[in-house]
Amino acid sequence: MSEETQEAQPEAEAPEREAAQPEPHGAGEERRGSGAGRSVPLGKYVRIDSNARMPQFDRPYARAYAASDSREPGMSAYALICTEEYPPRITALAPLSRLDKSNIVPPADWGTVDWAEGSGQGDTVRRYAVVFDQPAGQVLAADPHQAIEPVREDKLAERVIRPFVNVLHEFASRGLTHRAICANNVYTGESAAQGMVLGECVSTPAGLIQPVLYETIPSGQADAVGRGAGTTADDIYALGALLAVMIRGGDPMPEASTAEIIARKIEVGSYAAVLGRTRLSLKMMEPLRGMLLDDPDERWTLEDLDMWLNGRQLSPKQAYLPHKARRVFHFEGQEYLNPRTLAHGLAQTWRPAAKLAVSGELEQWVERSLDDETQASMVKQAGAGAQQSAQGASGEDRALVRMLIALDPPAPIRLRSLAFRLDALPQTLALVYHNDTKRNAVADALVNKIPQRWLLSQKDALAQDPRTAQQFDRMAQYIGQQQIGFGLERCLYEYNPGWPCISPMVRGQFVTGIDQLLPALERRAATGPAEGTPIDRHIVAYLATRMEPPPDAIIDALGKAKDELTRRRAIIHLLARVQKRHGPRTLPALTAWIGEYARPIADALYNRKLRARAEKNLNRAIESGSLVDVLTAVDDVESKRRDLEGFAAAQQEYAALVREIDWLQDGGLSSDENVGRVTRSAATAISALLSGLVLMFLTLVMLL
Amino acid sequence: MNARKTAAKKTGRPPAGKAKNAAGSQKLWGRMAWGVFLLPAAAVLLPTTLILGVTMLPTLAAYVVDRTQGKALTITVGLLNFTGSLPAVLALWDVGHRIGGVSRVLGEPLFWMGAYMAAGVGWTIYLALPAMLKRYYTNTTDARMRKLEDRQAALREEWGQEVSGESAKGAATAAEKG
Repeated sequence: MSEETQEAQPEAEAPEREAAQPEPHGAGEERRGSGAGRSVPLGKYVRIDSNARMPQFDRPYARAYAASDSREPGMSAYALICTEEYPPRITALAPLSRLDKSNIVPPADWGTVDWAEGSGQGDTVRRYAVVFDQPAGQVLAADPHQAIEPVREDKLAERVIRPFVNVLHEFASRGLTHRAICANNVYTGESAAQGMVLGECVSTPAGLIQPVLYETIPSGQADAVGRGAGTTADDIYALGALLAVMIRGGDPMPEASTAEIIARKIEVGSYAAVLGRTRLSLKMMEPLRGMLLDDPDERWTLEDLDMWLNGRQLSPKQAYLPHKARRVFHFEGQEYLNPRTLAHGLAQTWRPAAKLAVSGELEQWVERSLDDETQASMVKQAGAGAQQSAQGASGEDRALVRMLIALDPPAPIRLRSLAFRLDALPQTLALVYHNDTKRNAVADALVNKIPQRWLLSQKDALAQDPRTAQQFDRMAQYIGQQQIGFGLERCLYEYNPGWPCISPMVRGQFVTGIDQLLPALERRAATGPAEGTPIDRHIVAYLATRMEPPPDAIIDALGKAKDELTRRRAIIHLLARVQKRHGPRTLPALTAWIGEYARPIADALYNRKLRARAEKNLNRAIESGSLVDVLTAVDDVESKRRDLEGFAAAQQEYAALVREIDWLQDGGLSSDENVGRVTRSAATAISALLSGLVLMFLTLVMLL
Repeated sequence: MNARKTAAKKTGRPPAGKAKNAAGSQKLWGRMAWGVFLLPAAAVLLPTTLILGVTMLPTLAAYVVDRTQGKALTITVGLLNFTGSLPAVLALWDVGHRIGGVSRVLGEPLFWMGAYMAAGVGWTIYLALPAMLKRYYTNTTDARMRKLEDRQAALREEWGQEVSGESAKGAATAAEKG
């Protein structure tokens, strides 16, 4: 990255060469640690002594503390306390725990613990602890750039290559990679006669803390957050670099910057860059050349290394070097002689390079200077497309991205200040989520189908697999859906299994499983202000990807809710389902919060008696601590039906009353018209009656 | 004209002008029928006719001034007037139903008074009834309004202000303003 872009990166998201070292532990933090010292339980058997720091086992984003396991009293163990910003590789913990301990430090136990960050009780946060058995021997190099005592070539095969290749076989059989093979993560072992021990690799996201020397050119070109788990080929390359460091007695380029190391590797090839003029025996040169080949298809595999360890001679492979151009390309005071270094240079000076990408100069240079017709054609196509679509800064950015892909297809995707390998895109999104600029870069890449373009430019068969592209189509589709439960958050959780929920509502709670979500919200409700909506986009997306079966219908209803009450009802449904399936049985503080959140639903019933009954049931549910009871109290279908039907009938009756009152007020009875009409009838009737009576009387008189 | 005929054909009703003519024709025939029946009767019962002609003058007056639908005043006055005239008619029949008896009967002021007082009672009923009915209906209206308003209040109490078609918030604002 350029100086400018490096400056723009927040400290926490640029753990490159410098950040690969453990951060200095502040005195204040040490004091807090000792002040709040206590034995922290992890599960039933493991206890972590927060007073007993073990800095020799510290990792860049995880501090080490002494730990003990009551099942194995004599065992020396340590625990790494991981951060939420750079969480451990949770999905790798269980598969790696079953590894043979002789040449690797596998995780022994893990889980979330209550960790005192300050001196007060209120400063306790949830952290993720991973416990390891202490490895035998000393760490090879406390600092990745530190000089070490060279290891004799004849010792390397049995002490390093054979045990580490076996370890990598174990990783590969589990579909995992180590991605932390470097001198400061290797232990010397019990004795000089025995194999060395590879350190842990799970305390941070894969590839994040690996020094760039141990990274392949494309991986080194990516930001640390954008390297990802990679493949076994990346581990083999790192092993090759480690062997070179052991042979040379330390980092061959201790003072060089990341950009310089990458430029050197591109220029002369990784083997020459790492080993320099070091003279090697032919026997050792063979695997080192194979492991440090820059073409991943040509690089030695674990099987090649097995054959070499078993004594088979394999022909040394020549390093792949990019073709030199016939003419030099001048840009920003630099001279470039091949497309790969040019692409690397352009990516370091983004804004001027973006203008260049739409100028047509690159196509001219490629056409006139490159012998590789295929690549020249790709660049011309990219240039033609770029000039058509380039409008404004974002158009220029897209044009440059396409041009960089055409100039250097295996390189990571580079977009403005962010560079990431394609397979690391989901992890990159998770790591840069709180950085608006970089998060937008990831979203832009997906929306503009840059991953698909990158895949089309690759030669290997895996990249041509349509299923690979489908993943990115799906992610772009999620980003296009703005309703809650989708968007970038959905991409984050769906494609990063095991990533903790990074919702601000559960910050500091290290929610790594769905069963931990409600307890985390309970703690928040108990300690913080419990008001407002009890979920956010992160929580809904997290539930959408972690719940089985997925609560699609509820999330759909939540997204489409047109009124606030429907939205509240859907949220309570969702949380109640989580409690029903994953517990815990009682959540007093959260239920009080949700109960108040649900009160408008009960208040919305029209009928006073039904409303009073719902509120009574709601209060009872709040006391019970059950979200399911809260849901039942406020979302009784029968009551709601009766309420609506009764209300409709009451409205009709009321309207009839209004009409009758209006009629009476308008003189319906007492009007002159009505009185006249009634008078006519009544007078006639009275007259007839009286006449009849008189006639009867006269008749009687006459008869008598 | 043709259009009117067509419309009448379609609706199955006679045209308005024809209907009016038909009604007038029926009325005329009805009157002629009464005339055919009454005139011979009046001629045959001439003494009675003379007595009734004199005693029922108030009814004639009522008929003249009556503009009400169905001639309610005429009927009210007429029924009682006729009842009040019956003693005079009976007295005439008692003396032999002769022309000479007419003057004798009419010479009795009691018969006049009976017939005219009865007609006066009819007039009185007709004139006094509206005021009485008005008062009655005013009281009834008030009582019924109170009952209906009580029911409205009960509905609002049970179902909220929304049952009236107004929002509770609007009602509260109106109450504050009021």
